[in-house]
Amino acid sequence: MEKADQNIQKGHLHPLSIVVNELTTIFSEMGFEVADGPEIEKEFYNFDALNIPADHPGRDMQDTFWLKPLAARNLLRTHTSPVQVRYMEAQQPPLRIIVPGKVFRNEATDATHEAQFYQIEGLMVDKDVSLADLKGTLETFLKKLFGKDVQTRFRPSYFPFTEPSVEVDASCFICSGKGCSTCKGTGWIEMGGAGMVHPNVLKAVKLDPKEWRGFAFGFGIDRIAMLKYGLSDVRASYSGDLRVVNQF
Amino acid sequence: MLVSQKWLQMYFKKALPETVDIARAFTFHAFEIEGIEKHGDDSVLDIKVLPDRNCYALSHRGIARELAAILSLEVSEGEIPAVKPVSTSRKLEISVQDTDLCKRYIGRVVEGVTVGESPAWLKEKLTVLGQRSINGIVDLTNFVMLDVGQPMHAFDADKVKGIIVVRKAKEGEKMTTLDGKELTLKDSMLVIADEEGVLALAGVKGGTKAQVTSETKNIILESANFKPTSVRRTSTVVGIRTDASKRYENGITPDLAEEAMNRLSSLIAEMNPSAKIADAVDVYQEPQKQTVIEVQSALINSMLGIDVSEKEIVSILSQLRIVVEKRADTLMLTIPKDRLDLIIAEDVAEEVGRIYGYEKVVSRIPKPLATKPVINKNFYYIQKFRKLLAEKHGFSEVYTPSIVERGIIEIQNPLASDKSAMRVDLSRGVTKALELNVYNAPLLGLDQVRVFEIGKVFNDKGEYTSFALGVKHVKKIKKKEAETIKEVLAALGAELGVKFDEKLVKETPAGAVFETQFDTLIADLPTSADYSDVKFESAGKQVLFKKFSSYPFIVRDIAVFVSGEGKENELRDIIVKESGALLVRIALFDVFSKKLDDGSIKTSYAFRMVYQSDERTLTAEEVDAIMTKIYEQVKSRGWEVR
Repeated sequence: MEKADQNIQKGHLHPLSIVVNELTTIFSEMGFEVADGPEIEKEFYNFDALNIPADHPGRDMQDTFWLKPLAARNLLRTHTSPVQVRYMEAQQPPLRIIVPGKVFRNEATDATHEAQFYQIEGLMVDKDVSLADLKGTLETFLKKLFGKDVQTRFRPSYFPFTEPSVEVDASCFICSGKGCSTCKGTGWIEMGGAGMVHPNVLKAVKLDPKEWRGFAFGFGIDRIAMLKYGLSDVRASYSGDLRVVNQF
Repeated sequence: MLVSQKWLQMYFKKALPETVDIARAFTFHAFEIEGIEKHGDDSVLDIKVLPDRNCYALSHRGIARELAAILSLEVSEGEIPAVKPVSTSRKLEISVQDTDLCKRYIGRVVEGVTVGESPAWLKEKLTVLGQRSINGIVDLTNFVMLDVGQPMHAFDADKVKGIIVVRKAKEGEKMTTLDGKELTLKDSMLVIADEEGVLALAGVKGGTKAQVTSETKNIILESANFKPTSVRRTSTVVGIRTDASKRYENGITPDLAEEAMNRLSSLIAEMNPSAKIADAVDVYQEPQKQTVIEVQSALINSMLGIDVSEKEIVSILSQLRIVVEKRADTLMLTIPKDRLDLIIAEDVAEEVGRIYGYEKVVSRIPKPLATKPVINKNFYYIQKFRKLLAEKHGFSEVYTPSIVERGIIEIQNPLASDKSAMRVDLSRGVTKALELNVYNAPLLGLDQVRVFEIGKVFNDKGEYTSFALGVKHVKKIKKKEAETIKEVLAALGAELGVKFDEKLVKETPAGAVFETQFDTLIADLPTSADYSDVKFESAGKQVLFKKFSSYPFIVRDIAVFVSGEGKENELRDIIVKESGALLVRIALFDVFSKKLDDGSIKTSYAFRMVYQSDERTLTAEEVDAIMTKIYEQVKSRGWEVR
């Protein structure tokens, strides 16, 4: 009926949806379940259960939107990590989940920062999980995302909810590590953070850290879309503008 | 934190490697390097010390020790000449009223100092790090802090009346900071005071009451330790962050206060040989307990996924100044007092892992679990809706802001007044998207704008996933938008096995919009076995995003009668050539042929052109000029512009 009237072209999915679709395909093929959770979170799930108590400098690492009334201690989640806590409260290990979702940070906005953006978080809890499993999982994922020649490396870092903590880099898939504008001449692209789940986080969900260990990682989806597609301004994603979306 | 390589070098007998190699060592074993700058014969590294290592690494000595551990170098800390205390006319008395908020307070009287310009070596040390030189005494307190990490302070002794009291402020008590800022204090804040009033906001900032100036002859030195949460809260409330407060709020070992006082005293004695330095008065109620961590090498190896000999593990730990004692298969680790961050076995595993080198961790693919992952029904159907709407029904997906001007759930600390509440629905955002894209329809080449969004909304029903569609007919047709949407909903409903409530379709001037709650919609739908049928066609495809101009565009149409047929490309080429770079879109929108009385054929071609500049707003005159050139070319071929 509709086709007779007009020339209705194919529609276009949002680049962030396309990236999420690709990421979840990769991870579900690796045995990970997709989990989700609320965007309005309780302070407990967003901070305390993740080993970030009040008055801890770790809270400075994530600028928070608090909701009225302040006494209720509700906020807009600053990362998708709270979903890991909720999932672990409801399910016993062994478990493997990924959590794609919208998060919020109270930061000044510019070409690479917007108040709302998307992250994908991963969690694996089992017996004898180690940094080697984290590396293997991320290597497999990054090769599927950017190409089989892509290398992975870790650098020491800090997050309150992991110990050890690392930054994860991927070798630049544009220039194969030779140096270009995408990788700022270094040959490597920063992907996100990762580490072994801190025992305090396991204890918060009543898991015995002597029995269970886990790794976790988190990447920015807007960032992946910007790398893959050459998007230059993160704010353009949230304008409802088909001059952006219809290119995909 | 800025670190001078020359200053670091003072901690080593052997020459340090090149700056770039030092940076590399830190990057892969300790800290990110945010920048390196050359200053004459010195290099300054901007080291990103993260909160966990602030307790020991916010000093040149702390950084030097890190470098030593990473590169297996020996740190040689010079001997500090001890100061022989003498009797002074001022006998210092200190009263610490809150030993929970003030863990240690060391005060020391120094009489007969000359407060003048700092010597060149001291000025150089501070200025290379971007610090201001103030005077010989204040600069030395800063130097000691930057050297070993202990914040220090000096008071003009003659302006301190009576006993020094470390107490909570009185509610509403006032002080003026050294920067001239007037503060009204709360009774939760810790202050250093004398019998007259406040001398300093403990751990945060000194006050003008006992400020050290060029006239000062006698001073009282302070080397203290304050509770991290107290300093942090106070600093946040008054809105003052200093090098001192940053160190205190992450915790410092109280042991350091004594050593730092000795260093400062010694330096002052050097600069003021005739000064009289009294005994230090030390109020230290509860000495810091020694941390001992028990750990097995096997556990460290198991956590990291490496296979390192115990000998090597012990060697790494020793490089970090950890004293290791073996007891059967357990290592008893005596942790250096400044390493407040080392508390549990996992902290030790991180130390071993980072020094050993994460590049040596060999990847392991975890074995698949026995059970297949459960499909997330909500996620599955969101993917399915997206796929059907785009691939089958011509809808494009929009993401509109969650934070908007009005809503039931309000933000306490918004970024802007028009971004201060959570959206109650998707319809408003989708309507705006319709308007924006209808305006740009000529650029997009759309006869209809069809958009959709699936996302969370926040209203009196709570937080839930909502689904909204919007349609606007750009090219006028007999059908109304509401009818178009209802047709789509009927088709979509049949494909999915759901019934959409047509009553929810709303007509607006911007177009027709439909919105419904997503989770109730899919409640009775079956769960799938996997995600294979909701993989997007566009996933994995390579797209290079093209930036577009933000300047207004101008649309022009041209219709031309040509003799015969098959002239579409020729006419298009003329338009493209005469238009130049300003032509951003050209599309044929109408073609028809007429047979004339004499049997010949003439054909009409109608093109729509969109003109736009990357750098400025085009004027109608500019585009008129282009059209004139096109008309000339058309006429010169004997064709007729309609």
